Amino acid sequence: MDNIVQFSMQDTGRRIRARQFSFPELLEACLAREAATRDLNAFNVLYSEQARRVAQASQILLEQGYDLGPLQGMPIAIKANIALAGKEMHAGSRILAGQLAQQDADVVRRLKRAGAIIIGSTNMHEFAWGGTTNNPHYGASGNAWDVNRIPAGSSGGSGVAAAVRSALGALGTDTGGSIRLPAAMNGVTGLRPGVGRIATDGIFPLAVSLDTVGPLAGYAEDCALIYSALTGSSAPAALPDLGGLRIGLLGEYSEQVQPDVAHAYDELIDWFRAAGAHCVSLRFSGLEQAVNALVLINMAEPAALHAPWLAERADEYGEDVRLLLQAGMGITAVEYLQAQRFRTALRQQMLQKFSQVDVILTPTLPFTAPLKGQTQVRIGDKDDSVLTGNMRFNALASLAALPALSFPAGFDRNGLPIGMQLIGPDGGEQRLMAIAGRFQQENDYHRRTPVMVTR
Amino acid sequence: MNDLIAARLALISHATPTDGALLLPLLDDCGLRAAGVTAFAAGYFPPSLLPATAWVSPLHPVAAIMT
Repeated sequence: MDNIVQFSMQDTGRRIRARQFSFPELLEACLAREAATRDLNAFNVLYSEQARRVAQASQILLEQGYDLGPLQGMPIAIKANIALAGKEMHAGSRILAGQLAQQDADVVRRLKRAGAIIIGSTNMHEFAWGGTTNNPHYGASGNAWDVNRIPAGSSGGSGVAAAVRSALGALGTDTGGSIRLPAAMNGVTGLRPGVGRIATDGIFPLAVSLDTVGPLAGYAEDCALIYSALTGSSAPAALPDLGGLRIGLLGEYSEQVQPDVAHAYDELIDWFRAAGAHCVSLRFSGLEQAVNALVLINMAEPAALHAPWLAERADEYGEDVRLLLQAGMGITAVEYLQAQRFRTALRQQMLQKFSQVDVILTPTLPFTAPLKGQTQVRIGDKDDSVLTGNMRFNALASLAALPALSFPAGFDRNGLPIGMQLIGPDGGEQRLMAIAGRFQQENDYHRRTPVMVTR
Repeated sequence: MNDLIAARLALISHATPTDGALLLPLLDDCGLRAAGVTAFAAGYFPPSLLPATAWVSPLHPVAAIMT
């Protein structure tokens, strides 16, 4: 029964309704996957018994004719900064350890209403301020394809859970790339919605003007199902015809990547062209400042939030996060506002470009998953820092408050997943997922399973 | 240590117990990033053309604000 976790949620739901297997059997298969991959440390806690009771209740409801729709009985994981009533929400920190959530986050309430089963809480970078999910309090997570490599972050546990199918989908949060990075490094699909598109009530913030919450799942169509439940919007009934789709490319800006990433990017562009899409090269003013602006905002806003704890409890943070937060206290108001003005300039340019193109396509990352502890990655004849490289392509949508999706589009010579990013205009979330779904109809990168789960 | 880094360190030390040696590389990096963004903003938004609301939340329809 272990392989029943491999299907999309739509397909899984059809099979359950055809009595091939049941919601409790699906949940047990996910729990078995978690047990088989526990060395990856994807979860901080499993809600096994509660989930079993809900799965049994869902099965009874379905058999009595109460069909709640495609998310009914689907095991979904949530990141450790998302509140589930009555459960600990520590956001990967020691400071919040032991604090029980008084009520569900808005996104959890909506998932429950759609019948989803919250299977557990996933490991994350402390307070979401970092991209490795090397957590000093709850342990490091390992990449789904190589335990010695990082799963990215900060939603690293959610990315791993979706990749090894210990959950059919997961929620993450994305400020400067924290959904798209683990999606890319673990070989799954991840959506960062536009800022404000999904309520972040009940989610511990990082940088409030940039924060978003969204889904990670193997299949783009599963991300669309979760997104629909979180927003009340409908997924398109049919996948789009790509004939005439206008795709914006960033020219040299997208070429500063590892050779295998460049190859996968070129192949994807060829695939889109063969499907009838038109590719247009775009030029932006000041693109090289995007990472700088993102770093400044992402340092100043969390520093303001954490100021009382930095004064009284600084020794309770892990060193990397403490230093970043402290450095944020040294950003001046003028520097912060100049970064916000840069954001305005970038968004203004991107909105103008979306009158010429429908989507913008970039790699999600310049490189595949680095080894744990690695801080520099060699690209061509230069070393790139992992932190800056993480943000290079992710900064664009984050700063412009636009939706962006990472989806698997290849593997490198070491068998590590490569992700590509589609950025859309305001309200373009469903279209991004439909375009990725169309790609996944003809390519199987998203269905490949890490070897370690089959050992 | 240059004056700007010393000023940042003083701001930080005022708010939280600090190990200056550990922070210096980060503060140096912040200074470079801030200089780049500030130079761009100064060139892109000349003060004489800057509407008072030009920097506000990007959730606002910026193109409309600017025209």
